[in-house]
Amino acid sequence: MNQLLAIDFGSTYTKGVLFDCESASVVGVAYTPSTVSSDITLGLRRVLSALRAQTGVEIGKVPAVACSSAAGGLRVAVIGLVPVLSLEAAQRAALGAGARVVGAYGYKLTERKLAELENSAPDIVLLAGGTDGGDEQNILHNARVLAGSRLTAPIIVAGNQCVVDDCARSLRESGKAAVTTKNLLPEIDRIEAEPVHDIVRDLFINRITHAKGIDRACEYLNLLSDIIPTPSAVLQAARLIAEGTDMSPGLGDTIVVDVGGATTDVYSIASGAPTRPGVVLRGLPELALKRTVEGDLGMRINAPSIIERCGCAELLDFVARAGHSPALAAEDVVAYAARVAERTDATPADAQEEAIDQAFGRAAVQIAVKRHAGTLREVYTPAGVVLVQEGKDLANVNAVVGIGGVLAHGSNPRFVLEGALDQGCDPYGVLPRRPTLLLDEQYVLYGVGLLSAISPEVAFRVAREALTPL
Amino acid sequence: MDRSSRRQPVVVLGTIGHDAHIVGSSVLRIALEEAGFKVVFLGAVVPAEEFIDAARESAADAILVSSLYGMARIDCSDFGAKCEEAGLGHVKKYLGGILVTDPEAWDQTEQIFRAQGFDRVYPPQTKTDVAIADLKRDLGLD
Repeated sequence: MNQLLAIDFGSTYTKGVLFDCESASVVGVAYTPSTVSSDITLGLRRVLSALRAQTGVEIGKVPAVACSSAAGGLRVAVIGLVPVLSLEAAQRAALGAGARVVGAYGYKLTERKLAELENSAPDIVLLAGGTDGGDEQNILHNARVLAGSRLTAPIIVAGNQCVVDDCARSLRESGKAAVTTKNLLPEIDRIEAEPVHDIVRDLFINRITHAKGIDRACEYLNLLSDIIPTPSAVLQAARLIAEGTDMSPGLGDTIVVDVGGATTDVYSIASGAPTRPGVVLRGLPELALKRTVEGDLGMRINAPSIIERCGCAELLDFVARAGHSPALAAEDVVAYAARVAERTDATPADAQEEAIDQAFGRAAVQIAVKRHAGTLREVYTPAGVVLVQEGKDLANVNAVVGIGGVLAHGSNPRFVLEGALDQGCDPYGVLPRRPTLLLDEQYVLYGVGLLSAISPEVAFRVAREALTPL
Repeated sequence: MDRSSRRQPVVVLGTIGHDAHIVGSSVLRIALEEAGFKVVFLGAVVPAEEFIDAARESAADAILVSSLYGMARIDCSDFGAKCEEAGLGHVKKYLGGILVTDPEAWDQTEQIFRAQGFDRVYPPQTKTDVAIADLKRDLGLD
């Protein structure tokens, strides 16, 4: 296999990248606005002909791999018992499987909550609750409520093993598609997300790509493997960069930040174990491969919400630090945010807008990574000060990779990505101190992830070539 | 449905509040496991809410709280009421350790913590088998 084509059916753009496997390099890159609402193959055909024109390669015959976040992405509603335990575990599992969490429901499903769940139109419902041998009543109740619902989405039952079969039976008797698997939270201090990931992946491949019409693209592509959710592909790429292959050592603990128009996704491949001595760990244990999605931080639709979260004063400071000298007023920033929120395909028109855009990118990165990471705080006890850590300590992360237009096309990507770093003002910081900063300039990381399933070694070499140090 | 006949009894165990003393709980954990209990061990520096969450999710039969730094009165305030609110009124609640720093009479100390919702309160130096025997009796496991 000399060449490989990777396609991403994104929510706003359909993208393609052609790799040369011998030289482990990127031969061509193309993207065009997605056409999911009309015919997904239209955008695909445009990408293919652009790549053909660029490279002269007969693109339709090249072996291909593909991922998709089109048609609303993979919409998953999660149900659990205690919000900070089984419900949180279910959310993390869904995010790790590349989903968008469209609803999260703890305790018993009421009529009102069920109506909300039905309206959220999930592609999959993930039902958890109770440790193994733990609570049985809640999940049984919720299974009965789901059985009586109007939902047609498949339901994954991943709760207390003593009753998963009872839950599945009552769902199937009402004609629902139910799949049982191992408990997400077999014990209070252990999350097992892998079995759920595998089932989500199967459902996505066998049902959801068809339901969304994404599989129609297959006739134009010589697909080597199934279409998977885009975030899964990015997570695989992050994992490859961190862990390396049998032959090439990885970079070690890695963070990937993807700043999009509507959301900012953060991936970490790191145990997050304490980096200081004598720290007491609290809360649900972390998954080594963790993904979080910030639905209120995005460069276009959510630009006004970035102002709300970050504040105008700090954004103006970012504008100045991004390299824009003439003073701006808060109104300029607010007006810009309102404008780009209306026009999701807007690009900065001049140097001033460019600087504001960079400032928004910096804010999105800074807030999203801070939320993704854990916290470390001092607790005063009669026995002295104790440090209590919740979530991941990412201080010793080796590499931070940035994805997104604000970084790839921006004037000051280093400043934007430095938002992920420890800012030096918190004595108990858990953010990366001295990582290598890397930029996915051509937006090929999803392709690296897809390629890694076929040839990890080639994928790793491509990643090394394609990522630009900042 | 008789729970005790079909599953291992479950207890949630940990050191409450800002107390980092973990040895007492650890010793009790070993003794409980040897006595056939499934122990959900929360470690040290555990907020009251975390005991409650863990007990709900694991459908625990009892919550065993350790406190060795003299601040139990603050850490355990309304413990029973919080459990009641979370639907855990039926769960047995035990407390042990060094519960107060000023040398009050034991009866008085016990009264204070019984009023906070604990079924049994143990003074310092209590042997593990005393508490385990009580627990078996209270859960009808004898």
